[in-house]
Amino acid sequence: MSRLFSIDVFLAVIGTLAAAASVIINQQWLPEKRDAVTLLLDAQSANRYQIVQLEDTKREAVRLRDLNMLYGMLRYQTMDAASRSMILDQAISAYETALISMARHEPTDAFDATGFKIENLAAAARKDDMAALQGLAGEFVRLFQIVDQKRQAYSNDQRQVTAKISELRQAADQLSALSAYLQVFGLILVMLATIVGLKRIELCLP
Amino acid sequence: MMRTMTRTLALAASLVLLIVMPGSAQEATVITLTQTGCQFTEPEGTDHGYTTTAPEDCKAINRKSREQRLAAHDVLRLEPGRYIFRVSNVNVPYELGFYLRASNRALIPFAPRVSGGGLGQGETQDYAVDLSPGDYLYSCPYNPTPNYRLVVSE
Repeated sequence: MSRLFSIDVFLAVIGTLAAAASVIINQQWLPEKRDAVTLLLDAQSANRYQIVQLEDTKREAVRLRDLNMLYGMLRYQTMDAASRSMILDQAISAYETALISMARHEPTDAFDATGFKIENLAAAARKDDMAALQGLAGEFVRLFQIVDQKRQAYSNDQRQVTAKISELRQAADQLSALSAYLQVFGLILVMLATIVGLKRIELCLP
Repeated sequence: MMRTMTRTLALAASLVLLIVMPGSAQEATVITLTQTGCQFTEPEGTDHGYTTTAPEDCKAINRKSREQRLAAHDVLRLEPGRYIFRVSNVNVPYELGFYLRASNRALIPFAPRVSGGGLGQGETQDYAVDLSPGDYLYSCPYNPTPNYRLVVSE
């Protein structure tokens, strides 16, 4: 029995176990971590796309509102009623475009009701209805907040995804290092076992 | 000589008017649409007899039945031109309206559209619009109804 559990056999068994653990880490645990990272990278990319879209929407909305204000100022520079009416129409169209593009970020049911409200307010505003103009301004603020909150939510989500990716990558790196150490450790042990075994045979030790 | 010149000028003026304002020479086609509880009857082909006292009733009904009803509804197909949508509120006990717009949300501000409310029970209102080729949706967000499809093509 004691011959069976000699030092070389012990070293060989430990070396083989270390090599086997290294294989398990490489073939099972590391791919799992890397797959999870790939999935999160996809989510990160989709999130980034949404953030860019929302940022574009916000920027465009502000530009169109500025255009509306510019048209508004121009309107009072002209004396001709037809030109004033045309400028007002352009001003409302700019506002309407901004509002509809922001309303697209509302859920479908809410979008229909909002779109309808915007159209009705715009139609009244084209007839110089000040209350309708104020209504459009109110809608602008409300929708801008919705878009901004949505962008904020995506940004928070993005931060969490990025942190998780970093955590998973760190874990994968650690596993990869552990696997390499185990391989080298196992190899050394097996080599030692071979040397000890050969010496035992050479010296005819029990 | 003078009369011939006047006649020629009048003819030329009419031609110019026809070219500049094609809509004015064209009669608007009337499309009749009837609203009952939570629906337009024409695209669905039948009156489902939904009872509604407030928009919330319809929202609940539509949540359950919208997909099935929209899958079976008749798509309205029209040629480009001027249309008057004559919409009636038959028996809905609150104010309704009509909203027609491009199906692609991004195109809504740039495509022909018409909207309006103030349609009390038993009343009928006209909504005029010049439709160009494209895909549209029409509905009443006050009832509310599902979004029915309208396709305008040559």
